[in-house]
Amino acid sequence: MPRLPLALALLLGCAPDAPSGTPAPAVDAAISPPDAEAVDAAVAPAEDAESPDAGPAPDAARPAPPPCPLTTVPVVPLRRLTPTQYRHTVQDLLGLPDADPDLAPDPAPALSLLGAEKFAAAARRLAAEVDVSPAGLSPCDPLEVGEDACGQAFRHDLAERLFRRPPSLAVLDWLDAVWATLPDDEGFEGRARLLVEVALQSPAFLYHLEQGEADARLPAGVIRLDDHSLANRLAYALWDAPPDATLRAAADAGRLQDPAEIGRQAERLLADPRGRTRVLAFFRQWLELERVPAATKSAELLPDWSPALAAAMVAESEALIERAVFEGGGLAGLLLGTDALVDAPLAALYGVDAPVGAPAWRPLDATQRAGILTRAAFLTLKAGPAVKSPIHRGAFIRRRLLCLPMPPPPASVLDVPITRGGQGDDGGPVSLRELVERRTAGPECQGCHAAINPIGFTLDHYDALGRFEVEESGYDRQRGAPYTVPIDARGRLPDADFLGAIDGGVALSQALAESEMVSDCFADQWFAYFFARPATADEDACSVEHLRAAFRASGGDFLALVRASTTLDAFRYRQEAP
Amino acid sequence: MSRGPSRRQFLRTAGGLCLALPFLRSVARAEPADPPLRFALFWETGGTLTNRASEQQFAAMHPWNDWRPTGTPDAPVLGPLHTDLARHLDRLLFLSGVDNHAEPGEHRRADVSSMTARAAVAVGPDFTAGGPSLDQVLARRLTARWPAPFSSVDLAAPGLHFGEPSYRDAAEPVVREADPRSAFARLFTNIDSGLPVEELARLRAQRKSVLDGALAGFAALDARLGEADRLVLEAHQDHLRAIERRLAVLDDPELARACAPPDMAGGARLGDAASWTLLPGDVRQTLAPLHVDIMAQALVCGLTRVVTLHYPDTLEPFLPQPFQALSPQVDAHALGHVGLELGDPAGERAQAWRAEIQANRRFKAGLVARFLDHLAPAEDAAGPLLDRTLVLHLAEFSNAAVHTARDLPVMLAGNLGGLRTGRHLTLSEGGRGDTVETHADYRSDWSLHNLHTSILQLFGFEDEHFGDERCPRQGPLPLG
Repeated sequence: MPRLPLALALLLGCAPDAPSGTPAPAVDAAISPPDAEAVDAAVAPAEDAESPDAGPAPDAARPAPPPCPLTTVPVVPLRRLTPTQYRHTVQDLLGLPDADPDLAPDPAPALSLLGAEKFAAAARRLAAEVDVSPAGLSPCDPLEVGEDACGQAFRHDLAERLFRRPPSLAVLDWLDAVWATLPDDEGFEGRARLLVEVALQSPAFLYHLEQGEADARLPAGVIRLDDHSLANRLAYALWDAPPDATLRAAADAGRLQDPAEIGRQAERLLADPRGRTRVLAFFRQWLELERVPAATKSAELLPDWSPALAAAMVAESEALIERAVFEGGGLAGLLLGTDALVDAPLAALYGVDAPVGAPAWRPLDATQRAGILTRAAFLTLKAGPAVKSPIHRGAFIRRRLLCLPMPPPPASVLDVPITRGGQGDDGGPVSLRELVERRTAGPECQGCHAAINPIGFTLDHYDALGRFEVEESGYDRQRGAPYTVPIDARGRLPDADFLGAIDGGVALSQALAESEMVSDCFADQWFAYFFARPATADEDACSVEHLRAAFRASGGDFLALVRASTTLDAFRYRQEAP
Repeated sequence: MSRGPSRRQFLRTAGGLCLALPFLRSVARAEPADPPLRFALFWETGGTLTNRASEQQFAAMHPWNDWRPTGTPDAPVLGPLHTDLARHLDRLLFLSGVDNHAEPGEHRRADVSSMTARAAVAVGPDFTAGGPSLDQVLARRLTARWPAPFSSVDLAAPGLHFGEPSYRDAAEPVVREADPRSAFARLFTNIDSGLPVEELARLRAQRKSVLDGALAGFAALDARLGEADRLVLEAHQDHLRAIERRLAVLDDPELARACAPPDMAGGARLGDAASWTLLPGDVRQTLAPLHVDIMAQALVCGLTRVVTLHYPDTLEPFLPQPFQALSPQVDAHALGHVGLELGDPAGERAQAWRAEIQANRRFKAGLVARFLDHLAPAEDAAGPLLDRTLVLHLAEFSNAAVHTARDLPVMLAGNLGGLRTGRHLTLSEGGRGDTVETHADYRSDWSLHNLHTSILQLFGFEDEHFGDERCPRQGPLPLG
């Protein structure tokens, strides 16, 4: 495959909005977006920052990046528990495994009034449900040790539990004062419940409050996170949940200042089903798999579409992802794998033998399929109700695989979708490709579509359900007859580190699998997911470069990427907020 | 021109309003020309059924403008979308010829700019608002003048949301509630609880203790925080204080005497919110009417001065053959774009599509009718509620099929500050026919900027302009 260093590509003028070394993460970890647009909103458009890595050298292994100076760790804005984190936290820490509180999505940094009201209502409900007896939250029986002594122990225990760190004197004083204001006639249990309600509405519970210490050996303003902050970072990053007892014990013992211990704990969390779920959730967001079942398809033209088929598509893509992540397939496996877990309807769609009974793995035609971008879930999602969408497919690959900036369309854009094949000037049918080219031919469109369409056209052999078709078929309403037109799936990857013609989806996947830009793009997006924030252009640049290097050096091993993220300075340090 | 406060100022205002009963009695009996005290917004995604086109190539798509009333300006005859509103005709004002000059087209830009009258601001590949929306400006001003427990009640049906129309300030979208059961619990739980006064007092003391305790927790933080983080926490504390101040209002027996919570029996049919998009019929048959009843009763009970409903392109099972999919839902967005490929307007396909679009948009207009039905018999100390309420029904496009952001479907209802209702005004020039040729003549200098300025003035505010400068002219619409 011919590849071109990016710097050379820029010199050749084929990168109007060329990538910089600045990461442009596309997946935001903190929020589970309801749709693709929400995920895209997390993309930070690359600025013109000086790139430490203007382009990969094609034939020489790059040396490992030098150690990062600690002056480069960023200020981290205060974050609240996301609704998912809140749910997991109360489930784990209150012993309410079925708790599913009604919370506002509230993505903005500042809590909305509605969000505060929801927190208040949730706290009230949870406090009413929780077991505050010695069999539950209370470490003692007030009838045995007395209400005062037990109340004190309860407060200490509750604070350590819900605030996810040993309580300070200030915190204990506050809870003591609150306890004293609670009416005696509520009894011990009533007061305990009210205290739980207070704690659940307090900032110590609702926010990720990180603590650490400055050190004479550290640059001014940089603090080393303490053990409990590290435990919380690790647990919420890898489980979206609070630290478990083992991790808390490691933090209590001060062992997490040792990077090797962090590594061991990370391995343990990753081996847990929750770690697996969390990592897979990254890919579900990345590929927007949750949106597949809601896709609308025309029964006239695509009568095979059904909820069951949608579910099978999603399950198949998830299975491919699991193989790639947990069974050694890596990035190459994700982008080039040719086996598919299919049920009978999906087997029919792919043209392979249907399994009898449960879904089974089948090898697909390697001349037609290679990896996740040639699978039905992605191809169905990035298509309209009746026809494929080269624009959406190309834009996704540009944004999510190459991390190339995608400015919004100009105000004059006609965003009416192309809903079907159409008639040419002579009344005969024309291909969707030709319709797209006509629609986007204007100079106001070409600024972006010159870089989008050539990618999307390479997937034109896959229809709106991801079925491979040699010719494009449709129904000509004017003539009242079906029609077919040839498919031209030739294209290229503008602005990427691959120069050359690409013909079809398999060739596209092969080009992407060889691209260091794609590898780096995954690292960038994982960074944003793991740290629940996009990388900053300046302070995080060195950490991001290390993460990219680790992923490349591993040969695209996703678990190596996860492990490497726990070793970054950005994980263990932070800049003190001004 | 920005009249909005800073983010921090707003957060303080929205959460920090001081309340005192009897707010229901705090206004004088209304005179006919008195300005309204309440605002209701019904905002829908996807436009309506008109043939207005911004591209010549689409003008021949279909010949129907079923939104525009026929008849004369002073004696309009409502079209098929507005049949449910006929009983309120003398309270309605239809406006033709208002464009969105802030953003000429494209879903996300149009959605974000529709109520803000400002160009959308790009954030990565997406958009946010460049300023506050009209409804939130009104919420701030009206609640400052006539305090109410909630500055606004903002609800949304689930569906395809391309962009949020309501913003408290630039880049501060309103957070909406989709589950009417949650909204009901938040607004009405304490009203008419049936508990003895002593028990209510005990519960109120409990809630106050809890909120006081939580507030004290902000002072006990160990973490070193920067200025931005402190502002975030201060806003949070302001919200807790606002919730605390409501306690005395929401379970006051006087409030229970003045109003009753809406009937939520239909809520039992809703099931798990996570399954809504897969349960056809929920939105149309159950959820949206509950939203409307909650909005209306929130006004009747004096819980707020502003109610808004964002009705997106929903997932509904309403497509007959030849459009019906095997999947359990078809989104109304896709339905709208079927209008691009209708073929012969007299043909079965085109006629079936028209009937479906009509049914969908009639349903949405019917929600406004339901709201007016609910409000019409209600009175408070100022007189009939409808006499002091202004309703705006708007979509971001006129023609759903081609995303036309001109000749928008604007309908006002209720009290327009003495302005005569029961009319249909056409503010544009040309383009009144139904043919390609007459569409080419369409011209309008009037924009949402002017509409929103008019509404502010109808409320008695002295604004000369609302929104940004991307409009041909400033000032109000000529509605006299």
